Amino acid sequence: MASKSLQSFSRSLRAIRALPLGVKDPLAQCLAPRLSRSMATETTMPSNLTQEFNPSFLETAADPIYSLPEPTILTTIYKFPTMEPLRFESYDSKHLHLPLRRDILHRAVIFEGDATRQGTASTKTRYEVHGSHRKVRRQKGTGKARLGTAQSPMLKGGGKSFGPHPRDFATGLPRKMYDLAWRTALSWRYRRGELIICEDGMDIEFPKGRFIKRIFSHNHWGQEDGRTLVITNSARENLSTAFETAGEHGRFQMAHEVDVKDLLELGRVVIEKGALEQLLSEHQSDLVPKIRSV
Amino acid sequence: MRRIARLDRSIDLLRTRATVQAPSSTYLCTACKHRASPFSTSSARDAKASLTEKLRRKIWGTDSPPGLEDPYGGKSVFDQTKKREWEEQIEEQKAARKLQSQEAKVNSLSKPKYTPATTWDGLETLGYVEDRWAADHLYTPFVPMEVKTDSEEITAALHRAMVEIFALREAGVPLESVSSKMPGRDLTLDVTLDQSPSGPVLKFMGDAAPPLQDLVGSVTGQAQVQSKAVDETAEHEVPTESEEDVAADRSTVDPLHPDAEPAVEESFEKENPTESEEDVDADRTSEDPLHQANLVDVTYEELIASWGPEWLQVSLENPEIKFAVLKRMMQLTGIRIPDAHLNSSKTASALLKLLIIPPKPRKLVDALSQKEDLVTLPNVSIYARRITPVDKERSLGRWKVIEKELEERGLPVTGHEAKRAYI
Repeated sequence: MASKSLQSFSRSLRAIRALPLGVKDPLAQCLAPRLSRSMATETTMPSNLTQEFNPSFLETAADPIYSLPEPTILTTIYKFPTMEPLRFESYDSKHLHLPLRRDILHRAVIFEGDATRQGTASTKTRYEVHGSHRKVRRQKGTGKARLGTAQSPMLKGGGKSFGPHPRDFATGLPRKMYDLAWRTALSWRYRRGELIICEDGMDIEFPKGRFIKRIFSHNHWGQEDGRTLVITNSARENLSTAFETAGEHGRFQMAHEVDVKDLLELGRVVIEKGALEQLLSEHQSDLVPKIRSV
Repeated sequence: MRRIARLDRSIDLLRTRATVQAPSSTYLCTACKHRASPFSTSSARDAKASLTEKLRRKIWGTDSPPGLEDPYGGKSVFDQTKKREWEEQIEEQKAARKLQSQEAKVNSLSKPKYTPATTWDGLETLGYVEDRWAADHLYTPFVPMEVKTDSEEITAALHRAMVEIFALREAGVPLESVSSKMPGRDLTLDVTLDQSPSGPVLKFMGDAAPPLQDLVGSVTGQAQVQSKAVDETAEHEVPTESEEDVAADRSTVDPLHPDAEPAVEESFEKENPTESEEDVDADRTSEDPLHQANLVDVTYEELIASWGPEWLQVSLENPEIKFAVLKRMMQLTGIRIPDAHLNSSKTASALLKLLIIPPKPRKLVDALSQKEDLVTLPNVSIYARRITPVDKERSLGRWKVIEKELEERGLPVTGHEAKRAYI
């Protein structure tokens, strides 16, 4: 029995020690450091990667002379609300066809959120709590703990030591990064087919929510399909009144009120051509040299 | 309440009630005495004549003295008579106006160019709209509601769109003149595209292929003059009764007033024809609407095979043609291609690939249901929501019995009712 178990044990040991071909037994290796050894591990590149590898993408987006595979892209301009295609329009790839940079989008959203914070949480310190500053009881003699003022943070009704105070939570973000994030958000929408550009003068006939509901249900833009953000250049009474009762299907905003977060939030963006061009021209500081006033 | 009674009005000095005889021990001033005296608030007193009225009656010596009912409040006799005259004048004016309008109506009716209807069928309704906010009235979309999903239908629709657009180009018609009305009959079944050194060219296969003008007409929505087909409006030498009737129907001469000029040019093609005008147009074209019924027998596969593979290789790089083809496709199938794919679809075959591939399902349950090897497993079933004990009982068939029994005993069927009972 013992010999059998010993045999099986040695067999299993051998099995463990049976290494695949090409790999040298580490126990048989010389442990002295080699005089010449390559720093990088040698391996082969997968063949398909070498074919698709495009070194131009190594250039950063901030580099003004970086190039995208296609210089311009096509969009369709529709008529609102019938959604009849009117014509093609081409835009620069650096406006609407940027590669997706989630980290930049994240930073922009956080930046906007910080700026939106009210920062009005406030507490009173022990110096601000109302009350007499008389010593509560004598230092010695009572068998109880020593106490100074009644506003001490240790006591009930006292101040808060390091509580919140009203402050500004806004952070900074380089303007070029923010503008790049803007255009990255629009590009992401464009790539997914969720950027619908309509002709100028977008408005509906009646300020009725059911009108919006009818249009949205036909185009699959409503609540079941993720809701839609409608952006125009200027105020549209009928649209804004109609959206007050059709809020579950989307939102209406003017171009100057829109954020990166708004562009990413809902299911799709229906934007007026003039509004889109306004936004793109406002957020291209990384592409256009700064105008220097003399 | 005041401890010291104060008179509200000087008229209250007038004692209309019997005053209280207060005991001499307590002193009461006249005002208080007056106030303390018994009074009645019931309406029996109101029916009686007021003091002023009684005085007037006494003065005049009769129960119904002459003069105004309310001499101190209402208007004077002079004002009242003037008002009456004014109202009479207004009524006279209204009556005069009514007469005038009625005369005008009678005048217009006396020269009829039509026979007044006896029932309201087919007449235009004004003012009252049954349901102003009905879905159809609100919004006329460009793209049809139903989206085609069958790949063969989509292929046929793409072929039709391409043939129509290239037909317009060959005829020299601008591509923007594609009608935005609902697309009618498909005339492109026997027409296809061929590659030639100068570009894609239409190929008319066989006699069933309609002429170019017909094709162009069907796309632009204007009925063209047919040269080949039999002219049913032509008058024969010896017309039969039915032919006479048909000819009379189609002529523009009014049988009741043969001399009068036709006011409305009914054969003129209007921009937005009404239903009845479209019916008239349909009557007058020589296209047989039932002709399509004969082609139902031909399957899509045979059709697609008959066209050959060359039409798929036609390039769509010209943005005008691409736009026109995409717009026509939208009208025919209801499918919209996202902008991001516009650049990559350079040939018809690339476009077809984009159209045929259905969109990825949004819910996991739909995606799993599409997996054949998962669905065919005998011990696997896919549910869209959490399986509750009620679902298990229902699948066994016991649930109906349980529910009935619980209801009979007055017990809550599901837990939510029990929670509500505590409120």
